[in-house]
Amino acid sequence: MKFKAWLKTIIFYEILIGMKATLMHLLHYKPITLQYPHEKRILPDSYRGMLALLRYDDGTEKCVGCDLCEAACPSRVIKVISAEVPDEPTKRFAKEYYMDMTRCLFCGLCVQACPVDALGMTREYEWAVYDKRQLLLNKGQLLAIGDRSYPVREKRLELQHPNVAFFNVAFKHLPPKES
Amino acid sequence: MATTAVETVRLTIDGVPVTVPKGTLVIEAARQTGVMIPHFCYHPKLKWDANCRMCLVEIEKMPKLQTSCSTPVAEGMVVRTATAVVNEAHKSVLEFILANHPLDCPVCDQGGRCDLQDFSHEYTPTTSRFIEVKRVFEKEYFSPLIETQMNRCVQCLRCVRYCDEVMDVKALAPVGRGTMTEIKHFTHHELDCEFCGGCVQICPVGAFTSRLSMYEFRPWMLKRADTICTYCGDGCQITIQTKENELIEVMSAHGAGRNNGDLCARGFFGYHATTHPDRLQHPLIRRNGQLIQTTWEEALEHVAETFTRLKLQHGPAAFGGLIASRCTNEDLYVFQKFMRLAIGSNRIDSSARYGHINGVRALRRVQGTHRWTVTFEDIVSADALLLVGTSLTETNPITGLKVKEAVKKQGAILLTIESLVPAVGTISNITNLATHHVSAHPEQFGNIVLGLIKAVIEEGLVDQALAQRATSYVQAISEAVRACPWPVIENATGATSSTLKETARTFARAARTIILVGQGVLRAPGGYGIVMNLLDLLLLTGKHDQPGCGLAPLAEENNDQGAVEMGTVAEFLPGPSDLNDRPARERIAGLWKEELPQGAGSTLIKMLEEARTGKIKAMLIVGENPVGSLPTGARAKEALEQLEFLVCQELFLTETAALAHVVLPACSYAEKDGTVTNTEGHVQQVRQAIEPIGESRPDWQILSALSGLLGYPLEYGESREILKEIRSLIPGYGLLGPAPTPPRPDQTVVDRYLREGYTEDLASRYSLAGEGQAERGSRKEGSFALVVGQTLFHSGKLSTRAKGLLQIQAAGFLGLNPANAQEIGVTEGDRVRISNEQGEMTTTVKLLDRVPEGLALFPEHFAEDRLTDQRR
Amino acid sequence: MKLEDQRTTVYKVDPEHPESATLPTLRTEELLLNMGPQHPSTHGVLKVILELEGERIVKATPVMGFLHRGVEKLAEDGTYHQFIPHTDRLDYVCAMYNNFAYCRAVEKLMNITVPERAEYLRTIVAEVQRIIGHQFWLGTQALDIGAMTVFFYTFRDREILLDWFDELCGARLTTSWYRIGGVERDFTPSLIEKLRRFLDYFPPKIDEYVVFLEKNRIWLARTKGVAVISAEDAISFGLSGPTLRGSGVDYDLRKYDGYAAYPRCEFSVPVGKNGDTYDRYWIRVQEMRESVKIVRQCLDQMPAEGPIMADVPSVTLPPKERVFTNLDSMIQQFKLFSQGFDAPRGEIYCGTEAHKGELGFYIVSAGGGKPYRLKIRAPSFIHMGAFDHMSRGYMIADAVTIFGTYDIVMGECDR
Repeated sequence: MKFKAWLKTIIFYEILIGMKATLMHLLHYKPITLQYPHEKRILPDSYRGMLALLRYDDGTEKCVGCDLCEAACPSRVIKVISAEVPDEPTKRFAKEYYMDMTRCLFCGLCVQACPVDALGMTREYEWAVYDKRQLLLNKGQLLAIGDRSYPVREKRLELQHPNVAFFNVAFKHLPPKES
Repeated sequence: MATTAVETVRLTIDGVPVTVPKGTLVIEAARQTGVMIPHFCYHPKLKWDANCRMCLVEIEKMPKLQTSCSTPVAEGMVVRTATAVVNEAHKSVLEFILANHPLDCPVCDQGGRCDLQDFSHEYTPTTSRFIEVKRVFEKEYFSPLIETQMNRCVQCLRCVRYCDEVMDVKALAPVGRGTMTEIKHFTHHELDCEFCGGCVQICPVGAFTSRLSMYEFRPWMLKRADTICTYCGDGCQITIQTKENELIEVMSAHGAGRNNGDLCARGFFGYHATTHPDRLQHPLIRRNGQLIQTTWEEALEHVAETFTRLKLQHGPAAFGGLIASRCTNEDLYVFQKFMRLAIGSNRIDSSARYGHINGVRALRRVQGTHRWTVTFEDIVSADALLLVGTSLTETNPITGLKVKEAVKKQGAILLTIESLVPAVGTISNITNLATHHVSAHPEQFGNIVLGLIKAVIEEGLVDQALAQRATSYVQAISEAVRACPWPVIENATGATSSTLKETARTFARAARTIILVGQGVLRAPGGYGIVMNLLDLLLLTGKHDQPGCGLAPLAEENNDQGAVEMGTVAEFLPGPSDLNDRPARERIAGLWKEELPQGAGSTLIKMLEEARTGKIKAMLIVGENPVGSLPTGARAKEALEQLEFLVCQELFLTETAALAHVVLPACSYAEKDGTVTNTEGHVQQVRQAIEPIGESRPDWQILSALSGLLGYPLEYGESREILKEIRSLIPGYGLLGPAPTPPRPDQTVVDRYLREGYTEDLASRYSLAGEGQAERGSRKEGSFALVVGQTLFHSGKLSTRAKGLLQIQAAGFLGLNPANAQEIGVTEGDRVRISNEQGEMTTTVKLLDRVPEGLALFPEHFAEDRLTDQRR
Repeated sequence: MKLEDQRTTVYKVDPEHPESATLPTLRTEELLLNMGPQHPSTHGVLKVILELEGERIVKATPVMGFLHRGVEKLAEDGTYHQFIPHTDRLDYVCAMYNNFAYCRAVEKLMNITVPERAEYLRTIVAEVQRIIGHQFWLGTQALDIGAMTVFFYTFRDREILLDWFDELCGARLTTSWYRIGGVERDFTPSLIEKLRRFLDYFPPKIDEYVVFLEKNRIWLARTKGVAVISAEDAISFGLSGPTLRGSGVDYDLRKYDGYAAYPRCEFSVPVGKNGDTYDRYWIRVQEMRESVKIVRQCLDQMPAEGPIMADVPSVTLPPKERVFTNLDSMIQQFKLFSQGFDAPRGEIYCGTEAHKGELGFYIVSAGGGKPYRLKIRAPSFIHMGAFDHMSRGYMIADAVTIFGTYDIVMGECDR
């Protein structure tokens, strides 16, 4: 017994055992490392990547400028400036919409907060830029991200749910709000 | 204030014993114990309606749930507000309300401060059982400023009741039945009312929202500043809400300020004036006849150099100063100190000169006070109110609300002497509520007052005590009025002697009487005499020293009262003390550590005269626009053009500022701190809501900087330091409690007046004005007596920069009685050319039932309409 | 051995010049050494000022705050819901457990009962997170000591779980999956399938890690008898988790507090004897095995159907699909996201057994939608308090082992 222990010590037995485990892997060589950027991970549908503004199937913006995303955001990424749609009295929309992606936590609370499903999280993540001012996205940029990431668009909300029929509609016979 | 013991009742609410006065509603008693009972239709200002059924509570020994908003407390009552049954009731009521409410919280401006949201969030079941399609109203155009979304309405009818009970306008009505009830304007054109914004403020949901700031904000983004409205002398507390330094909206919380949360169109919709794009942002200096932009340093140095040079050449008496009484007390105080010390001239005046000073001078002379001896609360609890030339709704809308409350809720008797006639109109008409009304041309107000005094004497209504105490005074007045025979009075005024006698009797018999004097009297030639006569009326009927009685001259500008008290008028030093009052001069000089300048002050008109004759070489005008506001007869423009040097501190490039050599941009009330004193003498705080626009600075800071350059530094760090100094001059001046404590008449002054003070101008006061004039009714075909006055939607010139108010009323108009209009063959909306000896102009006709025949009403606010003499 | 005694000054005295007795020729004194804040083994930005006597540590003063982000202050400025993403960034390698601990505290404050299925989901994910945490710890601890291979092995298996998280909630590290009153998303069948496959795959892998370490003489020399702390001292210093249990104190909140689905699972709490680094290593390895057991039991017991969110409309978020059709839910959504819920006045402390130790949230509510004060009892921070005590007398190289044995993460420590 004592001899065995002595032998194990001098031949570095435990090291050999470890070496064996490693060598076994060498035989069953199956790399698990991805050669990014040549290879890319397949992301799940629920991936919380870049944020985007969405449109309805008729091409109109979903966002009604309700500011709930702004209120829900834990790091004040979003700034919404809402107004009446030009030439469509009483209809509300986001005149300007900014996201300061440098601060974003990608927590998805804004998406959850949106009462009209106007926000979506895409599977885009390669957003490294040299100038961080490029990460201050405006409405046009966010809509463009939505357009390329969500090719299938929903029907208008009021067509999906009859009970929201009088939701953010324009009354053409009214004079527009004075600016 | 009467301190009679109030009967109290003890009851238990949710196990908490509470003692409240008898007659309190359960909902109010619960509020005192800290229990908030949800409600939609109930509002403390309104009579209960109990239509929303939200406030149900369980009361022991009552078989069913009771509406707490309509149940008065009773001794030993046991109320439970949070039992299972009550909660079930809340849920059912909410389920019914929500059944028809659209899902438009995301687009509704009320979202975040909506009663329905709050209660639903607190009491609702999670899912509605209603799957039916919701009710939909066809949307009609309602108004340019007030947006309605009847789909959101919970039919509590608060708006309808507010419009009727508080405002007395009755512009709104419920139409339809059941769930299809809809709040509408009566007529088929867009809403035309007082635009007080009351419906927007009182709506518990988003059925009424302001279209001015629609979709621009969420309540949680707003920063609030409680400040004071500057559009009239009522001094309403307003809360300016801003978002990132942008004005979003104005509100007034229930119970706040002297206005108790009520506002008028100017207060509610007029806030955009301060951020108008035309605001002066940089100092301007005149180079080669042109005003060009410059820096503060250059502008101030130029002013200081020129002032010093002119002072050396012509002496300090060659300077004149004029300030608008829209400025804060601090501005006014620093201005007069600047003029008196840094310049050394007593030639200062303010826009209180136009009218308010007449009231204050009369009060000082007769009863030794410079403020009202009554408060708004006294107006509400008065027995009889006499209004003379007030146009109350238009000039002082909130005082008007107090009068309405007195008449409608407290049963006071209203006596009016106005140029309007009772008529139903789109805006409320105070004369509709009058028991006795005398309609007359503004020139005749004095004669009517004479008639009233004559009636008092002839009817034997003179106070016996007074008759014994001041025999000679009563005797003198009796003789004076005897010289005015009834037929002449009747002929001139158009009022019968029986009406006047009846009015006098009603007035004399009421226990608590208040006389409200408006601009129609104060600004008229001889206004001072009329106010004196009205004070005589109070003295004769023995009411001047009775509690709850008094004469109240209404201030037109928000700080007219403060301008007088700060000594920015020709005849007063701060206090106000008379300019020649030696002890006061010594005291002030002691505090200022500087001798006060000698020499008399000059009133505005005299200053203009002196400028024309070259006696005044330079003027400093702060926020006032004499060229625009004085009648053309005063030839203000000509006078100011004569000046060697004119400096203006202004918000906008007004007609006066356009003549100036240096224009310094000043801050509006929304950009500075300070205090203002309202018409009843209550000092209130103005708070900064937004950062100064451009490079503008508060007036006192500009004056302070200028004084340093002139070598008499008046240094203050902030406005509070100025108030502290004011307080050292006028002990106790400042913010004192929620309501003013009015002064009592000084008996020694009253005695002196009764002994001898009345004699000096008795004869002139007691002579019929306009005697020998063409008789009433014999006017030339197609000619009218032009009355230039205020409209409800504007105040001075500033309001014409407010986009909200311009949407209600964009330009001047000529108000005509429909009968007159038919005579000359014009109708609503016609363009007419009017002319008088001042000039001529074209304007639009508006038919108003309230304008008496033979009169034409014209608002004074629009710069392009220069026709401001009260002659035909 | 008294360290003070070793400090000696040697004087060479020249008999001809007796005054030279006062002049030292060889002087020894303590060496002050700054370790960190950029040292790779300090697991972030920890700085320790070591007072050394030769290579031995006489005194160690941790300097903290390099990663301070004012998280507790941020909590005062947002609603209770809004703080969940911020908790991700405390212990950034084990975000799920932070979410869990925070949500549990708020639920305790608001007195909310979480539905059964949600409890199981939460327990499963928490235990998966524990496995990830221990894998991460094991890999880095071995790396610190010099055994690089284990790092690759543990991280290989950790990747599987992180990808599983990614599929569950859309993010690998910053998860924000727990919600007040439940969880954000339910498991899909594919997730359950993947998890079961992992449970079969993982136990042999634990043995594989152990092969490299358990008998390795370097590992044993560096861990056995290093940073010993007695049970009394451990309790006095407020240690918790494996660090406490390594000293033989059987204290585990999962057993004691019995939250979530733990009372319904069979598992044992491994306890050490010597209170040294090796025992703490051993406990963590055993805990991985126990976690596998717990997850397996939960997957078997979990009700197949059921709500994943408590239905307390005034506090919990409504399901998204109901927001479009039901006004109550719309209002609920609006109010909760804009103003939050109205918490009762009071204060609450709720500790949760994270893999590092007791992660506690102390919330003071003054009513209204925001916490008046929120204090995080971060195990890393508490454990650093014992660092000086545990490192005295050991070699400078052992300092690295001692940070490691706490499983310190500076995000949590500095907050």
